[in-house]
Amino acid sequence: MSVADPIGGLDPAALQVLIARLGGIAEEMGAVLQRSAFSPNIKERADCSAAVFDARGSLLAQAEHIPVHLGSMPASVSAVLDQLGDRMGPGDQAIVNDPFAGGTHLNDITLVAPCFERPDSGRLIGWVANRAHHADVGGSAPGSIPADATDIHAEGLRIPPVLLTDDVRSMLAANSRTPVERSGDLEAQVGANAVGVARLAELADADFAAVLDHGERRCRSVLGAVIDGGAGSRSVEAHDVLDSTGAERDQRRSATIRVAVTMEPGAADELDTAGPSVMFDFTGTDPQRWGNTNAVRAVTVSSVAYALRAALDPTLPANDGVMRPVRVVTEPGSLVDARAPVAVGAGNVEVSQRVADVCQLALAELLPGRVPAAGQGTMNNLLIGGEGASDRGGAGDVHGDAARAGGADSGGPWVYYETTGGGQGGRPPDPSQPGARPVQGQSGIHTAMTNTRNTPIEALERAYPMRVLRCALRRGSGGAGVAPGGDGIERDLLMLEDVTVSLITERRMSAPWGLQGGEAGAVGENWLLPGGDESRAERLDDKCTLRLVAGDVLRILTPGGGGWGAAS
Amino acid sequence: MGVRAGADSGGTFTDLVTASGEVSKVPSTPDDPGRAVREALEAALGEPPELLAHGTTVATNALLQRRVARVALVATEGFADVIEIARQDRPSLYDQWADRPEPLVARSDRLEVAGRLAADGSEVTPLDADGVPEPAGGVEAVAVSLLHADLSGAHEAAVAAVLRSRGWDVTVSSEVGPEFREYERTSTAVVNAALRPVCADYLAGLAGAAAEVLVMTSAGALVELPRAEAVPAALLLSGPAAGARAAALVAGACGFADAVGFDMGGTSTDVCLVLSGEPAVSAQHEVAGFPVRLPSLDVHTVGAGGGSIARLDEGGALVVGPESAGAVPGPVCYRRGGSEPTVTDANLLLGRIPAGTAFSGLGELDAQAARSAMEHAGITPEGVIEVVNATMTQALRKVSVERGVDPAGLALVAFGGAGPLHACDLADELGADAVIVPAGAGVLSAMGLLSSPQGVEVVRSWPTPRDHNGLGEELELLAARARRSLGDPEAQVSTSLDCRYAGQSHELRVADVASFGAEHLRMNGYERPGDPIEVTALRAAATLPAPVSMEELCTSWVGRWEDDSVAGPQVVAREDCTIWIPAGWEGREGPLGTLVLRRSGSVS
Repeated sequence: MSVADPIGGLDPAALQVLIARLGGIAEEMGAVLQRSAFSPNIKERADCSAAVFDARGSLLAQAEHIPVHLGSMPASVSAVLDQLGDRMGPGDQAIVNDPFAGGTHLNDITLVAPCFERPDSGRLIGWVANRAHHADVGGSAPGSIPADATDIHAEGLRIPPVLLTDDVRSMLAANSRTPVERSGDLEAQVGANAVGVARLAELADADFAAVLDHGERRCRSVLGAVIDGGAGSRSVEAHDVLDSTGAERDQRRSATIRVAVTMEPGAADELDTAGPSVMFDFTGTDPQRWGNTNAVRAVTVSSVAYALRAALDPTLPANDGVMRPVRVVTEPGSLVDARAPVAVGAGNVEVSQRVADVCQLALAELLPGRVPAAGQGTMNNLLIGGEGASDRGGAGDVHGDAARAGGADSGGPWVYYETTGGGQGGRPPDPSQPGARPVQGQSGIHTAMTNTRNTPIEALERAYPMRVLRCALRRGSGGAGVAPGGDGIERDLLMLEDVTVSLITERRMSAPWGLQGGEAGAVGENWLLPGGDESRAERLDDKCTLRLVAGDVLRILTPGGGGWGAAS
Repeated sequence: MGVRAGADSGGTFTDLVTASGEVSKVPSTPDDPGRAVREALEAALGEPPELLAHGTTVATNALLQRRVARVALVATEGFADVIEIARQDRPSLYDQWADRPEPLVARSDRLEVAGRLAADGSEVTPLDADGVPEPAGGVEAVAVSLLHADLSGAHEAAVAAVLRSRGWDVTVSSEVGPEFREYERTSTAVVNAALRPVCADYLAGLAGAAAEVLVMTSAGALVELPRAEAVPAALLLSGPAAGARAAALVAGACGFADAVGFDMGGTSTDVCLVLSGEPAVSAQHEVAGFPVRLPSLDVHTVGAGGGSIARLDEGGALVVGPESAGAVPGPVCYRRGGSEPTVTDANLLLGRIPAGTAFSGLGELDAQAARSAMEHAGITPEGVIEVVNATMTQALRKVSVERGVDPAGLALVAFGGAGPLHACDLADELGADAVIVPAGAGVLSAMGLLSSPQGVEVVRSWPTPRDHNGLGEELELLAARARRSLGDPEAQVSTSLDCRYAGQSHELRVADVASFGAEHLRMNGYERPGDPIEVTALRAAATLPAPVSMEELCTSWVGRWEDDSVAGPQVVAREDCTIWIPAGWEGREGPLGTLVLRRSGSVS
């Protein structure tokens, strides 16, 4: 019986079993984290990830629920390796959230733990890490993503890579508006890593390099299949804009993100270290600005990884081998590689979306037929806070289905955070299904870098002094095309007490683009209806902070997706 | 007493078991699944039985294939699109062509009515009963789902009364599943409305098949025909629930209160955790992408089985599935046109399915064809088994380790065509104690149909989560209602509560508020004494004893393994299943005609 050649010392079955085991460890860590976490943000919205690394910090496997965590986790481990590597022993865990040292935005706290051969000693086998979005880490406003932050210090407690000790735990708790919830979630993260360390140690003798090599071969194989070998190197430039970088006068102008994507066919016969490759060069992107609409490089890399995976093959493994043929070039101090001390809260939630868009726009030209028109391109972030003055319906209680920064340990003041779906772009025929037809984009759905669920209206109204007056699809907002874009969402929210509202939204001026002659989707709109009066409706900026009084209605219309293909 | 029979409709075969343990299998008739049931009864019994306990795939297949009724939805004004917006998440992070299922209600069939309840169930705007819209011609069933109807069903009842008076078939959300979270409740009502006409026809066709016909629900309880017709959305996991019930009974009889049911078939594998003798339960499940918030047994399905196709991927790893050769064309060795090697082909080449085996209707299996397909694909049968076992191990860990249960004390109850071929290897990987191969491993779900209790569960939302005054009285009322709806004063009733700490979004089911902390500790690893506990829902389940006890069902099987012990490595082929016993394992007959396998040296 013929047997395929062993790869890196592993036969094809042993390789797949190792891949499955590593993936299983990441899944199991994620399950422990979700099961034992306290806050709805991790448990229900699943804003968390878990991953396994080799001894040098290369990502081997990841279980993620939102794309913005893919590609950005390795930065946390490498920062910990740089700063603490030698000092970490068995049983230690490091904590980091500093966006400028391995983090993304301050809410995302990552715990990193080394794994040794034996529980108390021996050779370093690898690392495990998990990341969870903490609802509040201090800063100038509940929820720690103040729309008006200009520098990082307004966004909360900044934790460089340090050993997680009881002192650090106390420090974190003292800096959060919700210390009890924080400690519950942090202990869930500690437990998840402990499980990962124990299981990874069982694989002490495994050939991790074979897993990375396999990922690289998968990526080069699909790159080779889509790049036209005869055409030589091809490069395409694309740009797209953010509507603004904040609410202040000097921020109310658009900012441009540019990328040049170059695909190299490589030499067909060479193995492993060469072959097809792709480069994303963001040189020429606008400089970072005061305000929070800046992304650190790790977020940019995540968006590149998303766009590439979505265009090439959604089943590519989540490991660093896959990224070997991929180069990402960013200019330090630009919007896509922010440096201290600017704020970065919206980098994760908005800049990430536009980076994914611009990468997809370039890929659409290089690989026509593998990329849909633009999706809504924003998360429509809405933060509302109140003092808890009025009597609320039901038990007037803190209800958990929402990502409420108030959490269990808050009595009066409350914060509600929500992101809202919109239209997906119209799509060419599914490249994996021969004979498929173009398909309309889906309506009222999260696209690209996030995928968190909404708060059920019944849960929202039982938890907060607000009433939803309308939640409907925004008919006709998808761009026309052979495959029209999906529709956005319309939501009217009646305030039952006085509140402070922050909006961090995009695609209010620049529309989600169509492709192949398809039309753009409708831009989003934010409106205030004072006292609920339609005749006094006033249009709000894409980013703003304002006070509303009981009886006011906030109306949000989210963007439609772009259309694909010229409608006849 | 007349004959009592259990009939389980499957994708390929319809299995029939009688109370005295007679078994028959007939090919399923997917165009009219009831025909196979009636034919099987006819062939095996000659006359209609006194009682038929039935497990059906009719609801599941109708939903998967979308052969369902055209449904109109009447929702609160401003909210009819909730059925499409759902929870706004997408099913695949990276596959941009992986869509949510098309909603069962077309945009033009989404109707709205004015009238609004507040968050505590009180009325903000009265219902506009004169403004109840009329569904379009061609609509076959209507679902009514209004905001906060779990707290007060008055508005929904008024809308339903108007529609029923106009002759519509109506499903009311607060009648089917009065729990909060509007999308899940609406989805449940819509799925139910869509299934009612097709299931009513099917169930009516079965009515004459026996003097009494009972149907299995997703919750693992038998119900009478009228209830099954009223709530067909409760039948979506009918067959798997019967298998899980039977696995729990068999494990319990063998002295294992904790176990995992492992039902490996041709295209998929069902696993279900059993704790303290009871299959794990779930308040919600998903079928064809639609959430259904009705009680069910917590059966986890993996898309891998004997028919899963093995191949080398572009990176040189051997992957098994998710593509499946299914029953048609099936594995290469079936000689029905399959050309890609499968798990079954690997089992044949390794001798775990003995050479010369003839599956009914297939003739002798073709090992040579399987071997050349394997060689052509550049893979080995050992490799295929290694990889599929790794996949199965992950599935078993998901229902045990990931739910905080140590697999060391568990028994694996192996059934389905392929379960007993893989179970000992999996027990080794998991570190599980024992493998139990039940009597009738090939028809265990049908046996579970006869040996499951009759029962109903009723539920209601609790309007004041932190204020528990009056909870006891309300539970008693609910218990009485459960007993009444079962129609038998002898029914056993148990009550439970869905609780969580304030600030959480995830409820745990407990007997009373006082036991919540301990359950939270067991499930999540910690408790928070002093934190406020919220009650979100009250439940009452009423049950009547099963038509036939598992002991009675298994009587004829007892003694089949005689007195000798069976030691590995060897393949044991019986008429209903084939068992692979690796080196280091040996088995003995256990209670109920089971074969209980343990590691050599640990057999007492």
